[in-house]
Amino acid sequence: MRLIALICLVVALGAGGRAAAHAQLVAAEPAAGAVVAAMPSEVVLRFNEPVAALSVRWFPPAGAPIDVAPRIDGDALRVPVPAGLGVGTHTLSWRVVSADGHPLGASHAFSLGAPSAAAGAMPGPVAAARGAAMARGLLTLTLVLGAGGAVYARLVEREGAGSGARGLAVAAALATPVAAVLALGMHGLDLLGEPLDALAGRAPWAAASASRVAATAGVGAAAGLVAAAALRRAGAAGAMLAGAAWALAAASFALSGHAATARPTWLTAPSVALHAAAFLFWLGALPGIMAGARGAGPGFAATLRRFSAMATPLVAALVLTGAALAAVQLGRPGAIVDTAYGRLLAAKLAAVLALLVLAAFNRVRLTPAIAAGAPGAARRLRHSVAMEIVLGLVILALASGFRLTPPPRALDAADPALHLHLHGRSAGAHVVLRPGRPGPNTVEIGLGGLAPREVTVVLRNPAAGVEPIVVAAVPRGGGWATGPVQLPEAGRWSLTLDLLIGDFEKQTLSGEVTLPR
Amino acid sequence: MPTALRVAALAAMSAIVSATLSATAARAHVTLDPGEAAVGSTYRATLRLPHGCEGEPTLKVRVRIPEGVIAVKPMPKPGWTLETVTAPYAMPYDNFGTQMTEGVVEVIWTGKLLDEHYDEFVFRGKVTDSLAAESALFFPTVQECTTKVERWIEIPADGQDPDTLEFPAPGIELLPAAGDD
Repeated sequence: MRLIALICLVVALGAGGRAAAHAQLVAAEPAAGAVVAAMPSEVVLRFNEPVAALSVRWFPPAGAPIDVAPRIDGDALRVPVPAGLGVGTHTLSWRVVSADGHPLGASHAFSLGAPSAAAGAMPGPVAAARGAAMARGLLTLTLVLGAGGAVYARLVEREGAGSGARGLAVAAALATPVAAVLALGMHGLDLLGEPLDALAGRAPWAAASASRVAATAGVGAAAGLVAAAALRRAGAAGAMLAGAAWALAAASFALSGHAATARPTWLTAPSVALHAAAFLFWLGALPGIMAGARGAGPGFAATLRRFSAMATPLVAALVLTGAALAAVQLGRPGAIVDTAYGRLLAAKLAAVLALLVLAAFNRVRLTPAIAAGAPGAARRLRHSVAMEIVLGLVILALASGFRLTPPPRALDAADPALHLHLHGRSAGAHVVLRPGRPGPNTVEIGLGGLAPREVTVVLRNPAAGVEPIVVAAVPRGGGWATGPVQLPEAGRWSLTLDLLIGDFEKQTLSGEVTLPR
Repeated sequence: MPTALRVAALAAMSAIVSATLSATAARAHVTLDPGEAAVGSTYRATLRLPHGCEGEPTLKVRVRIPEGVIAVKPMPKPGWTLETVTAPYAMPYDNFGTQMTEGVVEVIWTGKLLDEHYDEFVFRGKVTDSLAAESALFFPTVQECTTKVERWIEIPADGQDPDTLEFPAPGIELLPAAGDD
C-alpha cells in the first residue's frame, strides 16, 4: 500500500513538472537589429525556461556560413563568436528544443560597424562574365582578320599573287568557327554563373544555345567558313564568296548584344550591321596593306587607291552609325562621364579619333606618295599601318568591354528586383524583393483590396539552414514595406505574409522565390 | 489492509495517472478543456493559459465566441474584471422555446497573470444543432500583455495539418448529439 502511494506521488509530481509552458526567447545581447562597434566574444540568447540546443549557424555578411557549438547556461544560450568576421550584417540562425519537446528557431540579425550595404545595381564583372567578354572579343578578331581579310584579298587586291597576309587571313577564317564555339560556351557559363569546369557538362551549352548569342556564333562561324572558301577561289567566284562572307560577318554582330537589341530596333540593328561591315573592311585590310607596303609590288598603288575609294564612304558610315548607337545607348549626354559604359565609350571614341587621323594622313599624304613612287613612302606607310593595327586592337578590346557594363538606358529603365505573386484562400498579393540578391533586401507589398491592420513577413530557407526571419511591415505609399532585411544565402526561399484583418482574424499568403547568386 | 480500501486506492491512483498524463499530452498553447462537445448540449469551456507573451505578464484575455454557440455566460475570476460584448447573431436560434437573435460574442477578462504562473478562464454556452458534428469549432483568443500581443487565431485550411500552425486558435471537436446513433 505504501509502495502504491509512493508511485502515485512520484508520477503526479514528475508529470506535473513536465506540463510547463514551451520556451520563448525573452532577450538577446546584442539585440536584434543592433549595430555594435566591436564584436562581443559571445552572443547570449535568453529564454524563459531551460532549453537544449539543436543547431546554431552563423551567416557572416560575406563568405560561407559557419556552424557553431553553443554553451547552455541555465536559461541562456551562449554562442561563441567565430574569429575574423567582417563589417556588415551578421545573421545567427538558432534552433533549440524546450522541455516539452517543442522545437523552435528563428534568425537573429545584428550588424558589426554598420549594416551591410545593398549590392550595386548590377553585379560587377565576375570571372565568368570576363571570360565571356574575352571569348566574344576573340570571335570578333577572327572575323575581322578572316572575313575582313578575304574581302581585302578578293575585292580590293583582286588580281595578283597577293600579299603575305593571305596566310593570316586563311588561318583566321578557319579559326572563326572554333572561336564561335568558344564564345558560345563562355556565354553559357556567364548565364549560369558557373566556373570553367562546368563546360564539360550540358547545362552551359544548353543555356547558351537558347540565347541570342547562339545566332551570332552560328552566323559568324558560317562567315568564317565562306571566307576560307573565298580565299581559295580567284576571280568572280572568289569575289562573290568574299562578299557573302562580309555580309554574314556583319549580320552576326546585329543578332545579339546591347547595341543591336536597344530600341528602336529598326534603327539599331541595321546600324550595328553597317558599323560592323565598315570596321570589318577597314581593320581587315590593315594586315594586307602592311604586307603590300613591305612587298611594294607594281599593283600596290592601284590597290591602295581602290582601298581609299571604298573606305571613304564606309568610314563615313562608321562614324554616323557609331554616333546614332552611342546616342541611343547613352540616353543622356551626362552618362558619358558618370557611367562605366559612358567612360568606356569615351575611351573607344578617343582611339577611333586617333585612327581616323592616321587614316586621313594615309589617304592624303602617303597614298599619293606611294603612287608617285617616292622613296621611303612605303616605310612610312608601314609604320602608320602598324600604329593603326595597334589602335585597332585597342578598340576591339575596349568594345569587348561593353558587354560587361550595363548601358545607361538599361540602368535608368529598371533597377533589379524580384517579383512574386502570392495566393491565399481568398486574397492575393504582389510582393517585390529589392534587389533580390543575397544581402540586405527590402520587401514591398501590394495588397489588392485587402486592408489589414498589421502585415508580418516571414522568410524561410530551411535548405540553407536559415531559421525563419520574421519582420514587420509598415504602411508605405499605398502598400506595405519593410526596412532592410538581411537574407544571407542564395537559393530557394519561402515568403509568407501574415495579414491581421481583425482582432480575431488573420489571413496567410505564401509563395516561393529563388535568389540568384 | 481491507480489500475495499485497496480497491479505492488503486482507483484513485489510476485516476491521478490518467489525469496527469492527459495534462502533459496537451500542447503548451492556449487550449480548451474538454476538447470535445456534443452538438445540442451545453458546453463548459475551460481556457488554459500556460504562459505570457515572451516573458511578459498577461493583462487581458479576449475570446471570440464562434457562430453557432449561444447563451454564453462567463465565470467571474477574483482579481479580474469581466466584460462581454453583445452583437446580433447571423441567424435566430431557438433556445428552449425562446428566439435568440443576439447575444455574447466576445468575453474579455482584464487583470494580471505573470509568465511564471498558469491560470484558467471559464465560460459556458450552448452548442446549437446548426453546427455539424464531426467537425472542429474554434474560439480565437487574443492574449494581451504589457507590450506584446499573442494572437491564437490561426485556423487550419482544409487539409492542413493543425500541428504546423504557430499560434493555433483553441478548438474543440464536435460530437454527434447525445442520444443519437
